[in-house]
Amino acid sequence: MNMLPRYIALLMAGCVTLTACENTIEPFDQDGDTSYVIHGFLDMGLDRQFVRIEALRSTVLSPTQEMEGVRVFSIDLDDGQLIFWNDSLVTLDDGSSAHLYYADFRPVEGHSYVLRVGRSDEIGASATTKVPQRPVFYLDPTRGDTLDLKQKIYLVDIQEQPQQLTVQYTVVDVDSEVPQTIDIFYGEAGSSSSVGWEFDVRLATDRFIIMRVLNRSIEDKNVRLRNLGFSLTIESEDWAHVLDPVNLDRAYGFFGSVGHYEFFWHLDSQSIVTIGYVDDQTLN
Amino acid sequence: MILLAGSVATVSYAQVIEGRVLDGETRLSLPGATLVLMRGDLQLTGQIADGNGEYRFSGLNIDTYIVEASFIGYESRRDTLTLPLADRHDFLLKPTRTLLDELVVESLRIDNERFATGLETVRQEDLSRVPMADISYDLAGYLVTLPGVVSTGDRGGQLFVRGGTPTQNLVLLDGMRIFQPFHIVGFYSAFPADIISFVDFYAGGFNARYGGRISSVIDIRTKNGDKHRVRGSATLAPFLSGIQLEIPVVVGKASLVLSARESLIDRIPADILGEELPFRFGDRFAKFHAFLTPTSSVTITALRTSDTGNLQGDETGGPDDQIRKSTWKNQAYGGKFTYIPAEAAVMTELAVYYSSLESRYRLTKDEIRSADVSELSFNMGFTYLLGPNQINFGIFGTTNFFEYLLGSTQTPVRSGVSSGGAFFEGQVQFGERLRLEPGVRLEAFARGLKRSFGPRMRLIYLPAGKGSHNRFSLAWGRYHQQIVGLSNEQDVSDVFTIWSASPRGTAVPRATHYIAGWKGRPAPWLELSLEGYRKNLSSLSFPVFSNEVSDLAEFSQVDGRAEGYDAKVEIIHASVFLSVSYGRSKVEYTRPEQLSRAVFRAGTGRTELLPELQFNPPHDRRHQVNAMAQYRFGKNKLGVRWQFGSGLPFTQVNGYYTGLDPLESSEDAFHTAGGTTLVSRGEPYGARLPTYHRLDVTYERRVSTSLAELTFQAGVVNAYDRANIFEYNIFTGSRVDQLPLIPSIGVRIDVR
Repeated sequence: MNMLPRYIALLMAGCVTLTACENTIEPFDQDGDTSYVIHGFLDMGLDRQFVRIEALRSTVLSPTQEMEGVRVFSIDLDDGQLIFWNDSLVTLDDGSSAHLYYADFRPVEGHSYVLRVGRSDEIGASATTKVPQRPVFYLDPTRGDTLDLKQKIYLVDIQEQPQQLTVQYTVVDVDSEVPQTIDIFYGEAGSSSSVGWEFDVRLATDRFIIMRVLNRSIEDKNVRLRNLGFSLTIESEDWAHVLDPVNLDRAYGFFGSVGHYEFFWHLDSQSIVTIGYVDDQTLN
Repeated sequence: MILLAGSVATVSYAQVIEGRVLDGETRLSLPGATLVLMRGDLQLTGQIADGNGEYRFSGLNIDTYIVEASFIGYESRRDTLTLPLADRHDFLLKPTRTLLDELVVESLRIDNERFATGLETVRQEDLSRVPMADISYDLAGYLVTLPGVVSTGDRGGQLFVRGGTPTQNLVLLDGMRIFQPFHIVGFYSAFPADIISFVDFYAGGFNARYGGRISSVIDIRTKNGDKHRVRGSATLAPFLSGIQLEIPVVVGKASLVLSARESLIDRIPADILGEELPFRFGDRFAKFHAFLTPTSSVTITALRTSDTGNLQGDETGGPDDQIRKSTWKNQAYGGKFTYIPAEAAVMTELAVYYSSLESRYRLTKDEIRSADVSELSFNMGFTYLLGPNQINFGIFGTTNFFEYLLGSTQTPVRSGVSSGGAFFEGQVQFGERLRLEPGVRLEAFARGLKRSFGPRMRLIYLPAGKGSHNRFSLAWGRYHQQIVGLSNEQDVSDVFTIWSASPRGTAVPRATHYIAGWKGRPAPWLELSLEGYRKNLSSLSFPVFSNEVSDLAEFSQVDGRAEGYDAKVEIIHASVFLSVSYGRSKVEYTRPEQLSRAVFRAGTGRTELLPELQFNPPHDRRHQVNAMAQYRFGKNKLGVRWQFGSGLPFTQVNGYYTGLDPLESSEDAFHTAGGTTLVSRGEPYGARLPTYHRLDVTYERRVSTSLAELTFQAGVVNAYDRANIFEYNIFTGSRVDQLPLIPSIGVRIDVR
């Protein structure tokens, strides 16, 4: 038992020796397959496209990673066109900086695009989107009287809310003889139906607005209606998964596309007279 | 004959031997002393003196009995008593402490009366065996040496017991519930070890008198002050310094214990310690105890603690507005009246308690979270002594108040819940070998929360009867927890906890414990123990990984299982104490597919569909070794402690990035929008931290004078300066380690 303290000391020394190794921590997931962040969308209405791309940072406070050697390009999967995107550095609202990539082209409706990001020695990330097709539309006959004449429009197979819905009236003031297009913003009007999306054009109510714009009395029956149409923006299916995108591969963020479309139709003469215009329509 | 028989019948089985076991010098009571009742050479029964040192043998005939009282560190005493007794019989035991300096012979107690699987009774001398950077030792420092008890580090004050989380532990100080019982520096309890009389630590399988928690119970009984003379002590040490007084308010009848401690570690220059340790903590304790009559007493206890610090340690590691700070304050007050009527073998206890915890967590300069909880409770308990058997039952009522505020832009949320219930537990002795302890606990809640029913059972088997060197025990119980603490368990440096009633519409957290244990003593100086356990856990709330860095998590409901075994070898021989323990365990959580829950009204994040997931939570330590040794030589004592723990799970990250609000198809604001920092994570808890191990060494020398006893201590924490990781700082990309090699010196003065 007198030897016991020595044995204890030996035991402790042994424990320390055996385990005095391996003290590193690997905080990062080396097998992680996501290294880029993409934010942006293709816009059919613009000649220049923008996308913000970022590489993952190692700490919360790390500055924006350098993108040297990173190539960004898009491919039109329908016609095979390949376009390289250019890097630019922008200052953000919070004072930091970010890489905003841009390319000069106008996306084509109904075409699918893939955006690829990465260096030559890595798999990189990609994002896909399909620019929405131009929807088919049809009309119901008008209904109502002078004060509340309306006409229902159906957008076939459109289930999501169209954006920026605007009804356009091209009218000719009897004094100026110059056609004038007046846009009445409907915003996010309408509702989903079994056919698709439907909304009412408020023909009578809109005339009140138009006459006020023209500075004409509502009783004035001399304004000529030349064209009637509407425009809207349709978002790709990707917008339904903004918070949980399914079209990104090895990337975080969001990537989608938007289409802008205009439609015109011929309003029947009786309805034109009912609401108080002169029928001067031309067929577009 | 009939008359004679009648007269015998009226006096038989009505005699009582009762009294107290006291220190013969100080007259302090000796809770936990062992008493054995004999008639001639025949041992009839035995018991353990209660928290006041009281004992009682009832149901006795008019006869002559021998009662032997013994307690570690004291000479046993055997008194022959002829019934009926005219008065109570107190035992005044003579301490054998003077012998210990020269030749320490301590033999392990055959404490069969208190043996039960899952239960560890801790006494002051047990605490003194753990080398600490505090000359006064500490309960927290001792608890982490027990197999099955996991600490995530030397800061934060979080203890995980056999798979349970800190908020699933019930910690009582003289019956007062303490919500945060450990200081911010993890090896210090919120109260000094000097005030402790003994601690019942149930790692599981606790009986029906305890409820409201599903993992473990730490039931701390403090000692009563000296009722005959003033005693005082003071300690000076870098981590914690303090002063304690015991004052006889009424000599022989009433005493007052006062204690105050304060940390000094943040005042020591970082150059000396090797790093900044920005922690400040302290506690104040007071206890008044008085004997109103020889059979009744009253106790009033109060505790206040305060803690503040940055758990990430270095306050220069990041920008000021990113430096986190945790602050909390405990308060607890209690009053208890104990009465033992002379005519009946029943002890009655009436108690009222109040406790509260205020927590603040500064996430950034502008983001401060607060969470407060308070509890008012009353208990009435009865203990019937029926010879070798015993029945405990009681009723209780509790009211809890909760309030939390989760940011400067949020509104406070306040709620409360009341409950009441009853418990019953018995000790039924079948001969000398077998004892059964059934129990049941019932609790009903206001506010429409579901009632809880908790059956318990324990079995103790001594193959050779009371003197058996082998003891076997089984324990089983069902437990519920209506008051839960929710915290971000993903972040070890975030100990901010929100207490609330279990959210409506969700099942109450439950656990079922199964424990089997054996303790054997093949030699007087050698004790072996082996205990296996399994805890089935259900309906626990676990935070969902959010991709926002400082987001208040949504929660999911998980089920879990914790299982393992603990083995221990303890040697006490001559001047040497040696203890080696090994714990093997596995904790696994399963999350079925479900929608996440925004538990907090002000919680950020969205409800999302969570896939099924199986993972090991961050306190799943598979292997744990504790080796302690103590060697006394003359007035000197050398202590060594080595701890080892296998790595804890953590979640790796892929990286951090800027997330933008959902893009508007008509705007180009996303070109220059600032965004929110988000985190991309790897597999939940898919990696393991490095192993943890540390060697602590202390040396003590005691010097006695006529006026006082001085104890000098020199020691070193983390003697070979092992860099044990605490966490990875996501802001700076640097690792935060636990305490480095820290030398310490301390001095203690005990005034005679």
